Amino acid sequence: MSSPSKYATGQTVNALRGLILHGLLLVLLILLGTGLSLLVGMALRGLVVDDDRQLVLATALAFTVIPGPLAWLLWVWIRKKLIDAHPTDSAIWSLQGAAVYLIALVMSSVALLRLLSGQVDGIASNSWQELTGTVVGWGLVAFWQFRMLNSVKYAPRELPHLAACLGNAYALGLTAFSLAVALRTALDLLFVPSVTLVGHSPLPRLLGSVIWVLGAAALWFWHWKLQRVQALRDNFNSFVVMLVGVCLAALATLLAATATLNIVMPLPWDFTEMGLRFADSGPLAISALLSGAIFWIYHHWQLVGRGLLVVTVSRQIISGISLALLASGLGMVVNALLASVSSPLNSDTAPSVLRTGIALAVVGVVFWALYFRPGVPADPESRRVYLVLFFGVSAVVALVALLIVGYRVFEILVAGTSAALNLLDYIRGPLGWLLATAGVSAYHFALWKSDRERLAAGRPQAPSAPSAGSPVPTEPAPAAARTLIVVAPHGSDHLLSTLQLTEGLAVRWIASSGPRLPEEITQQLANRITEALATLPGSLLAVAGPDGQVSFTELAD
Amino acid sequence: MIALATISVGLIIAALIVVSLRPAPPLRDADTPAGVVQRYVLAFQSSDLSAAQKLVEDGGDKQVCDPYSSGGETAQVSLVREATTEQTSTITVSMAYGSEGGLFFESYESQDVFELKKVNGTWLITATPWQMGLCTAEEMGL
Repeated sequence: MSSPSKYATGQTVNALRGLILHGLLLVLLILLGTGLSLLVGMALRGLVVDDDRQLVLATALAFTVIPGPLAWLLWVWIRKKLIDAHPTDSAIWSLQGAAVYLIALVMSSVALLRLLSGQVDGIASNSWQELTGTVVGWGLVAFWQFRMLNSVKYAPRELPHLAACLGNAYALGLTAFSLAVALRTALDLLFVPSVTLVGHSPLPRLLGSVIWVLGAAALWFWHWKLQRVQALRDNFNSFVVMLVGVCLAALATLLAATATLNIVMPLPWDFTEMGLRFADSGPLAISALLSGAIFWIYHHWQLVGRGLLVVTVSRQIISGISLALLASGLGMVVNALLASVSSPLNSDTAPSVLRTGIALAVVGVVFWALYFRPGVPADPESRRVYLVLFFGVSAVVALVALLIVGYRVFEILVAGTSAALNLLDYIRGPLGWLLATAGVSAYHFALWKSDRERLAAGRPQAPSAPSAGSPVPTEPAPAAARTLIVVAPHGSDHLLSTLQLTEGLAVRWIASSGPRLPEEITQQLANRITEALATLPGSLLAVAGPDGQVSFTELAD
Repeated sequence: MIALATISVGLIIAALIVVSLRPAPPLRDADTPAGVVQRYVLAFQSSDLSAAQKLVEDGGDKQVCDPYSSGGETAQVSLVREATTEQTSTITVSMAYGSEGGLFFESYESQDVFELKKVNGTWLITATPWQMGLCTAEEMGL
């Protein structure tokens, strides 16, 4: 029949049109941001036009005068469609808005922090006008975009909190990084002695980095608490928070722990060398360790109420990282041990390789044991993907290592140079890799096979006892699959935003014609819908009447 | 986590205190090699050519080798090693230039050597790092 295909084509055309329009708006806003920043910067210099600034002024004017009105016209045209937009259009709008917001936020916040810390830290800078221009120009764009995204009329219904979520992730990263820098400066000043002949006091530099930390922390606090990103419980937001707050922080912490252990271990038994290592990279390692650990623990604690899927995935990612560290460490240990067996010319790299390998292996094994819990029999369903992934990746790496070993063996045989002792030294690197990754691959393969057997053995019993079935796999399923379709008049956004915060619920709104509902009736509606969600299972259609009555229809999934 | 946060804040505050209380680098005696180097660097950074020339062997007709490089101006110079004998001295210093950029001040650090010779009982500089050197017109190629 022609009409479904026409409908499908019509949808594609609409989506494409939405993409192009919003893409244009994105580009225009970015150009406008650049132009405004340059213009304000030049204005602060008194619009003095000497040779090098002519081009800058021309660019500034061009980027303001042309994109400005065009962006406004485009926005006026687009916004009419946004009021009750198709879900695809809404999603594109949210993506574009979030992209503009994030870019403008990054530019303006970095410029602001540089400006503020530049007042204190005494690094001679005569570019405060440009920095202020950046702050004002990009700040205006960020502010406007944020207001549009959160306005009652135009707020996107799909991915509604994307901008705040990404802004929060950025602020979190910036805070953690600036905390690490500040701590590093502090540790450097405290513990790394240096005999200064000539130099300025390092106090301004330390104060400048403290300002960065405070500013970034304020930005994070604004997103996390005031924009209520912390309260968002749906899967997407939890995933983003988990990825940045837990996994990235864990990665940084584990690497820093390895670096610290590497410095502290007195493996060539030489304390002067240990002191040199500490002076070189000690402050960096310890500061990264402290900063990463703080944010990791905080977000770990935050993930507690957020549903099994997010927690499981985060555990698996962290155990994957620790396993990678463990395998690398074991490879390096094998490498170093083989080096001590053969007698190469430069034998002094072997102890440092051994030391780094032991550090990696120790950190890796501790956290892998904690997060993977190899002794405790785990639910086979949840870790299938993880096991297959690890088995696959380590098999590929083992194959590459095997190829390198083979290549080197053949190279020595064919070139026929000196004795077999050289062979061992030549292949010890890739041989270490090979042994480590082959071990990892074999272990995960064995686990996967045993899991498969357990699953196959478990299945015949499942249909016979459906009500008393395994509690663990069914827990996430009902919560995640519920849809709520609300038919309510315009202006019921307050109702929707409350409902969108419920975990595991996909909310869709179809606007009904009719007068706007007053506030108390909207509240009654919200209460009735929440009650119905608690009592009726499955997906629901809720049609709101003008006097606060709601009729519910249960939907088939 | 609270413990870690307190430790971090405590470290930063401790560093602030320590740094505020740290005295400025003392001016060393003018008859030690380190003192001569210190005075030379101070004179160089404040563009006091005559004072710098006095500390360099045959310094009378030497000019700043590279007047356009701003590297030497704002460097922080720390003493790394001193190897002094009766007549000669080699002083290894590390020069750190803070780069602008707020968060990413990877201060570029390089180590270099000052060579000194005892001439008539006073220490004079014979070789300097290139950032802070004085050269004759011939050496500069003029």
